[in-house]
Amino acid sequence: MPQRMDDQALAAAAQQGNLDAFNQLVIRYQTLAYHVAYRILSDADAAADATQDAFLRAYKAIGQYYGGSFKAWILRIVTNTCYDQLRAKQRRPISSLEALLVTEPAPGPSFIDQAESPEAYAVRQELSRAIQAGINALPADQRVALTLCDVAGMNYQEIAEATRVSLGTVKSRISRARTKLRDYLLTQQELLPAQYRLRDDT
Amino acid sequence: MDFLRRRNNAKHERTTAMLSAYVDGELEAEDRQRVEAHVAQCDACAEELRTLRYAKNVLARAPIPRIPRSFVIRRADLEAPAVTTAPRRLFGLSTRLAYGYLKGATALVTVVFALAVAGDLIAQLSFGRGELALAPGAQATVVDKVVEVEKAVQVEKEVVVQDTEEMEQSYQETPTLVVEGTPEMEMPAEKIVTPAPVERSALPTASPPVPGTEPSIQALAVPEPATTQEAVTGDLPPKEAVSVESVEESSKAGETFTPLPMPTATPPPSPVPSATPEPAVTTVVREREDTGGLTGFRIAEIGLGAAVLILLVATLVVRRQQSS
Repeated sequence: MPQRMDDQALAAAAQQGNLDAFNQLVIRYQTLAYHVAYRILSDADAAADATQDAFLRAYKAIGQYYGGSFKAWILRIVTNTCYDQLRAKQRRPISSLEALLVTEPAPGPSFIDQAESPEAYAVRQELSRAIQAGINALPADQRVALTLCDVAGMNYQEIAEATRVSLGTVKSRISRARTKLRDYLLTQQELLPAQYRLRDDT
Repeated sequence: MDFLRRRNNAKHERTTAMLSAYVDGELEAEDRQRVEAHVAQCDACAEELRTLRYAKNVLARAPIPRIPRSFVIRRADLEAPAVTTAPRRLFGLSTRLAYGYLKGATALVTVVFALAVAGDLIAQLSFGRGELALAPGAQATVVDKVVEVEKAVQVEKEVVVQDTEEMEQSYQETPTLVVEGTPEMEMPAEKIVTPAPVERSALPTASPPVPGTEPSIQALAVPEPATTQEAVTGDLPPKEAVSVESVEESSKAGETFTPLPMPTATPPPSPVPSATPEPAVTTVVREREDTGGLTGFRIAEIGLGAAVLILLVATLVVRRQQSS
């Protein structure tokens, strides 16, 4: 059974007021939503708040979901919530150096790679910090576009709809963002774990 | 050779711009083929493509902290946050919007207030009290307002009396003139009777810089029927004649009193250009008017100050509401 159908069926049930059906969708997309929020906000707590807020908003607005990709729909809400957070943060800036650290002590069930050695975990933590620093250097719009593209795997059309800009704008934002991130990563090669370095054979 | 290189450069530029979209598989077949053809023969573009693809892969595969908790919605979540997430509204506006408007209004009124006070100060410092030289338009409107507001007349009367006394002291040669010209009982009556002429004559002639104040002044002093034409022909109504006479007696005082651009500027717009002791007439008459204008001005300043305070308080209240 294609997952798309499942999403739609669950969303339809949620529209009838079935919270459990909606929570199935939450479980399905919460990791992705959190990842997107984390990349955009680069703050673990803010990302958690934004994710929770986005799902609440989505549930309340489920009546406005008219089919199509549920993933694109929920990520649009996540993106908007993140923009709100960024604006709020601009109003009262919080220093969040700490947020750049991956503070979770041990990998949990939602980890992609479950059997992980402490060394591997340290490497991942280091890498996460390094990459997030490169993403932080991007302007918010570029960061959002690149995140939706590379982290969420949305296509340009979906990104254009989610961020309410033209396809051409999406194209140029992603192009600029990726070029900058690439330049940054090339300056960080020695600091990156071997498997994340640019190799000659790729 | 040069031509070839340039053509190659243009191709190169176009390809670089498309490489990211190519990496994402977002190019139409035609563009895709063009990029591939170019990359095959351009080392720089091939390298660019390789590194861009690398950046995409790193970002896609980069680890992210695991989600701190499940975001499953509980029934309790739906009730409590519903209150906090619903945006507060104020007069049908979101508080953010209302706050923006209020902020703007406060700033605007504050600026106007500051200008009014500054203008008042400048006028008093540089022209002395008797000749409040505001921008003519402003003066005219202030006077209009004063005439409209009945209470203002009352206040005016008092100030006029005060001012008259002051004048008596400072211009000892003209006490009779002032007293005659501005009997205390007559002042309010005049003002009340002639509101319409004031508006008519003050507004159109408000354009010339300083003398703009004069027409309205004279209109005020002159009883209702004294229209401009009459005045120009020299047929001065009784009241006007009186003041002219008295002024003639004290033309010296008049002269010391009008050292400003007034005399020369007066004739063109003035409705009474042919009257001989012109400067003095205008001065005396203006004296009364200006005190009226001054009072109106004061009222305006107080009003503006109060408005600033009210707006400021409202803005702060809304801001607090918004942030809470």
